[in-house]
Amino acid sequence: MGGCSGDYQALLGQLQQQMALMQDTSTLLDPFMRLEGLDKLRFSEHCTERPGAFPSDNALRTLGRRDFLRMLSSTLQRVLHRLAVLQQHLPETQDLEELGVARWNILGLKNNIYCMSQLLGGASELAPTTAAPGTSPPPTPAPDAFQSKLQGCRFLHGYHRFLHSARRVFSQWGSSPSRR
Amino acid sequence: QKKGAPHDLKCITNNLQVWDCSWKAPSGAGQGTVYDICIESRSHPCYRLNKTNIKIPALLPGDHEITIHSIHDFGSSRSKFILNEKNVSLIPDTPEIFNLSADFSNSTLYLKWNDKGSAFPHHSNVIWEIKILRKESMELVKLVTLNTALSDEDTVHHWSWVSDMPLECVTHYVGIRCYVDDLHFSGHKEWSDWSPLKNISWTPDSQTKVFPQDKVILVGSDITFCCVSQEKVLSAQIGQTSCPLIHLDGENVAIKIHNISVSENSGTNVVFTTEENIFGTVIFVGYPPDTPQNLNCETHDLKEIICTWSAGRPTALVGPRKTSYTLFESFSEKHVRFKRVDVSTKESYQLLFQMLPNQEIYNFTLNARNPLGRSEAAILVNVTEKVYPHTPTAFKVKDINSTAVTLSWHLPGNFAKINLLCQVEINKTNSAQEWRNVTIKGVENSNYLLVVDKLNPYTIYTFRIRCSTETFWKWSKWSNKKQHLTTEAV
Repeated sequence: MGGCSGDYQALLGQLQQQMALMQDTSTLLDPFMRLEGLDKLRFSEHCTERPGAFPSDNALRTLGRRDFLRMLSSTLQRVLHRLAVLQQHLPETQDLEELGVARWNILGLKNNIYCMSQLLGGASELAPTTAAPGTSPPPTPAPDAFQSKLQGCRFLHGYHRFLHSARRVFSQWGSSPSRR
Repeated sequence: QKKGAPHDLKCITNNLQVWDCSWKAPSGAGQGTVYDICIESRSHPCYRLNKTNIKIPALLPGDHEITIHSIHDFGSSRSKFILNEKNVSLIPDTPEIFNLSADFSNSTLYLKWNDKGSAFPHHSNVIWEIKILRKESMELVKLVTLNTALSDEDTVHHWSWVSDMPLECVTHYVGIRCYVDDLHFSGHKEWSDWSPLKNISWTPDSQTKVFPQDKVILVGSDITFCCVSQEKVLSAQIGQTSCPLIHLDGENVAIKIHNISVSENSGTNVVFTTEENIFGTVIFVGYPPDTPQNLNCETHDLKEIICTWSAGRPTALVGPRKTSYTLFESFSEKHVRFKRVDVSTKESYQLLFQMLPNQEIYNFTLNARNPLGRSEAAILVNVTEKVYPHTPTAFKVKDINSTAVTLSWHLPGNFAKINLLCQVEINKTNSAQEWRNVTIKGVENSNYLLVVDKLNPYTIYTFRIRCSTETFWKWSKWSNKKQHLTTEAV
């Protein structure tokens, strides 16, 4: 992974840009729903985030910056695991390209989060992200196919919402790296 | 027949061995009435009873006179009857289902009952009727007739039925009755009573609400999906198509799909929606595997056999439901299974089979299998006639003299038992191309030498080589080209 930029403004801008891109459901949720045939159903009302799956808007806003960055990093790490499981449940001939792209985006975002933590002087617990090639969590037994689709859909819905919320927190960060 | 005397004698038999005869008591006969029943020309002619029915061993065909003498408080009365098998009704005992079970995963009911054949004197044909009812309203959904034959002993019969409706969503009731069609019996034959109904219902053991779950079916099938729900189901949908609801018991509902079409790789979603919730399942609709097409087996090196084929018609089933291939060799009884890591493109598949010592002929059968069926293709191969050598490598040219050179190259493989056919291409500037074919004894260590003579001194040649086998199958690819200047004549 590249070295960290010491420029707070640039880093903050980059984080916000990445999140602006990744919060868009067209990057992952929409293609997933198309692939799983969920777009054909009046489904969006049921593809809602499961409470507790991701930190709420309020929880993110009340954290200090370093705790916020730590929460961001650990949640994104969990997302990576979950995306690996999601990929495993997609038959091999059905590559969801966007899943791979999302994975790289998350790794990039985590890296910038690490750099921001370093800049704020609190990066020790946030080890830089190294994509561990080929290691993926042991496959958890998928419930029936429909539940698997439903859970995937709800998870991705939460993922995009979480990024949206996190980006809003970043947008309220001031122009200087004062610690709070 | 006078009402003042015993009248309306009727006899039935359940098993052709015992007749159960009953009559009406004389009008006015009290409790204490006693009956003397005498049957003409019987070793045990008379019986005394205080009831109006008697079980007697079955009488031989023909007329038998039977006298019933009733003795009661204010006197006695007597009636004569002519009893003939023709007037007897054969009404089998009511059968009993002694086991009804279900395999919910494939909506199958299993029935077991005992035909009590030992009660009958000889082999009789029996017709069984089984009825299946559904819902609390006991809708008849299936009536089936089975024919069996009674033997000397009790036989347990088995019958199974695949329900079109998943068994989880509605209670099913089963009853059975029988009709003994005995050819020897001249009397009247009737159906037995229906057995007591046995029922099968599902006790919810999981979140699962919609059935069947993750089923794999053939394109064009009819199928019923159903939903177990405590809340009112408002709508149901398969893919993008809404379906009319069939109401079962309680809030459970079903939908019937006819001539279902092929599904996407991720299956077709079937969804039931209530006010608050959505319940669903996925159906995978596809085809059984086509016969593997263009099955071919060859070897590059007489060490490993490579079989290739194409799948033929796509099955629309992927992932855990995709087609699995197994290559079976009948002489050695060895087999290899296709795994995803074996190179395959969307169209063609490949499997590697390690050659066996001292075996040249291989009888391969390629089995293709998926949840909807299986198919196979076969090929008999003499591998020495199916050699497609690797590309010759390490191709070198060395001078022997001004008009002859030695070519050397490496050809991976153990060809010790066969002859190779190699072709040298010789190019000389401003001159026609020349090819020379040469047969070379195959070797085990893959290194070959060849002398090429009749060359011009001090001339630039470009050489390259390719090989096949004497029993030609395919040329290898050409080796790299080698440019060479022959030495000057001395």
